[in-house]
Order: sequence, then C-alpha cells, then structure tokens
Amino acid sequence: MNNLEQALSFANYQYTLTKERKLLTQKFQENTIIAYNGGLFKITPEFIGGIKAMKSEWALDINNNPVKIDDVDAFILEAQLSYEKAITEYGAEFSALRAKRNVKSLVNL
Amino acid sequence: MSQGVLLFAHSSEQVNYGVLACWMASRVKKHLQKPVAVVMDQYTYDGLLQSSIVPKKYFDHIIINEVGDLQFRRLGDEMIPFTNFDRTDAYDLSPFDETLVLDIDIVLQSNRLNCVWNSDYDLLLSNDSFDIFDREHSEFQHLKEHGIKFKWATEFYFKKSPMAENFFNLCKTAKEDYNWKSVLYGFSNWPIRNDFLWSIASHEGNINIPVIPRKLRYSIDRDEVVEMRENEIIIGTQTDRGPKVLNVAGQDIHVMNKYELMILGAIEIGVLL
Repeated sequence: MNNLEQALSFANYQYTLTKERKLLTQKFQENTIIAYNGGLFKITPEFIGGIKAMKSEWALDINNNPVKIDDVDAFILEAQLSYEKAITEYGAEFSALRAKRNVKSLVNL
Repeated sequence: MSQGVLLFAHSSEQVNYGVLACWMASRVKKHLQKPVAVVMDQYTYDGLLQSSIVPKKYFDHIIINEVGDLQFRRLGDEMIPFTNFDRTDAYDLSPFDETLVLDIDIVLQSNRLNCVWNSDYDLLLSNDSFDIFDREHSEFQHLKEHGIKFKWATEFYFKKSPMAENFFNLCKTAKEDYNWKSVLYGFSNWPIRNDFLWSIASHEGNINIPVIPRKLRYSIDRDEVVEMRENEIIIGTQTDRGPKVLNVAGQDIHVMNKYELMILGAIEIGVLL
C-alpha cells in the first residue's frame, strides 16, 4: 500500500469511527430518557443531584411540564439505575469501538 | 386505556407495502410488545393472501380503507407510485385509546419508543432528525428557507382527546387546501406530503406540540441496505469521497430505501416475494 492509499484508508477509517461514535452518543442520549408519572425526564448527574438536594415533590420534565413525584426516593433510585445502565452500555460500546482498527470491523462486516 | 401501534400499508406494483407491514408488525411485537393495527386497502390485503401470508398472524386489527389517487415519489433513480392520503385519518381509524403511528420503513431495533405510553401528553410529534452520514437536508429542517419548521409524520403518538382531534382536523384542512398552502408557504404542490401537513397544522394551530424525546435518525432513498441482522443494520452510500458504510445497532432508524427494506424484511419473516 503506497502513502496515498494509506492516507485514504486512514481517512475512511476516521470518517467511519466519527460517525459510529456519533451514533453511540445519540443512543446514549435516548437511553437517558425515562417516563415517570406521565412526564418524560432526561436523566443527568445534575438532574439526579438536584432532585436529591431539593427533595421536591415536583419536577420539570423535558417539555417543562411540572410532574408530581409521588415517591421521591423511588424516583431517584429509578433515575440512578437508568443512568447507570445507559452510561455502562455506552462505556462498553465506546471502548469496543475504539479497539477496532479497520472499517470492516467498525461496521461488523 | 388500550394502547397499540398503528401502521399504514398500501401496496403498489413496485413495493409490496403489505409484506413490509407484516415485517414491521413482527418488529413491533418483538421490541415494543404492543398490539398492532394496520390500515390497508383490499388490493394490499389480497396481495398478502396471494403471497400465502396469514395477515391475522401479524396484526391484531385489520382496517380495510380504500384510498384515492396515486402519487409518485423518487426511489433512487426511479419514480414509483404510492398513496398515503389516509394518514390524516389516523385519529378516526385507530382502534386504540393511545396510539403510536409508525411508518413501515422504520427499522425498530430498540424499545425506546415505549417511553410514550401513559404520558400526560395528548400528542407527541417528531421534530429533530439527522442523516446518519451527516449530509445536510434543508427540506427536513424547514418547508422552505426561512419557512415554517418541518415536522415528521413518520412517527407520532396521540391519545384520543380533543387536542389530538383538533390537530388532525387541521391536517385534513391543510390537505384540502394544499394548493393554496403550497403558494402561501412556498413549496411544491405535488406530491402531497404528510410531513408538510403536520408542519402546517402545527404552525397554523399555534400549538406548541411536545416532541418524542429523540432525534429521528435516517438514511435516504439512494442509500443501500447492505445487510440487516436481528439487531443491527448496515447501510452504505456513495459520497464525493468514495463509498462509505455505517452500522446502526440497537437504535431505531428510518430507512427510506423501501425497496431493499422490503426484500430484506420478507427474508426476515420467511416470505417469498
């Protein structure tokens, strides 16, 4: 393989890796959405921290609708578990992706 | 409250949407575990029987609905006929209290859409989207440059409620006045696009409609479906920098190349076309 072919091959690899990483990030974002008591919540560490600190019976969902939190502790637990599951899956898939060294393996062909 | 997924299928000579709907129903059962209703015309239903498919095996409700004129859409280099005029009747046709309407060219590979059920919302639409190859498609952002915002009719959720009914009435009105709306908002008056009707209804109804909390990922009609497995799909395309290929795994994706999807979907459910 000459230098040009090598460069093109690397560019193709970088392109695929970048797009696959973006897809994984989007998947992670989706996996951090939970439905609770009629509302839809985007779970982040900041959100969990905020709910824990406030212990408020109301929380704003992604559309800024106030949603009654009947059992704050149970809600926090559910949010934590969902986030934990999403970030663990993201981490594992991201590491696996980074370990792949050519386009064929990146796309599982 | 009954909950279920509603599909629309009207076959043409080129694309057997009936088979595609059966495949989609099998994916819904697998990933969302919800009952499926399908709206199809007699031609599509008969086509399934001719292919030795038992529709009841896939669908919990079969609603026969004859639709009018054919339209034409681009599929690769070809123009193929299709009809989609009854999407605006989703509210009247759905047998469920809570309905998730999905295009049959969405490849379901996750259960993420289950977050819509039992929500406080009467209507959830799909706003944001991205091309998996990151190509810019302004037509999926606004109806025209600086025009009203684009909404997808590809996936949406509604609850039987006055608010949702009003929205669909606005869609029907926009369809009746499509010529005038096309002049008003500056887009082509043919073919009639449900996405545009949804966009116009949202805009004119002055309704701040909440969204399904995700970006709809899609590939366009000229992209090639290289392979489709149980939980992943490999899609290829030609770019100005040569051929590119991506793997979308465990994520739902709207694949606009219906023809290839139909062939692979038929194989998946063991149907000979």
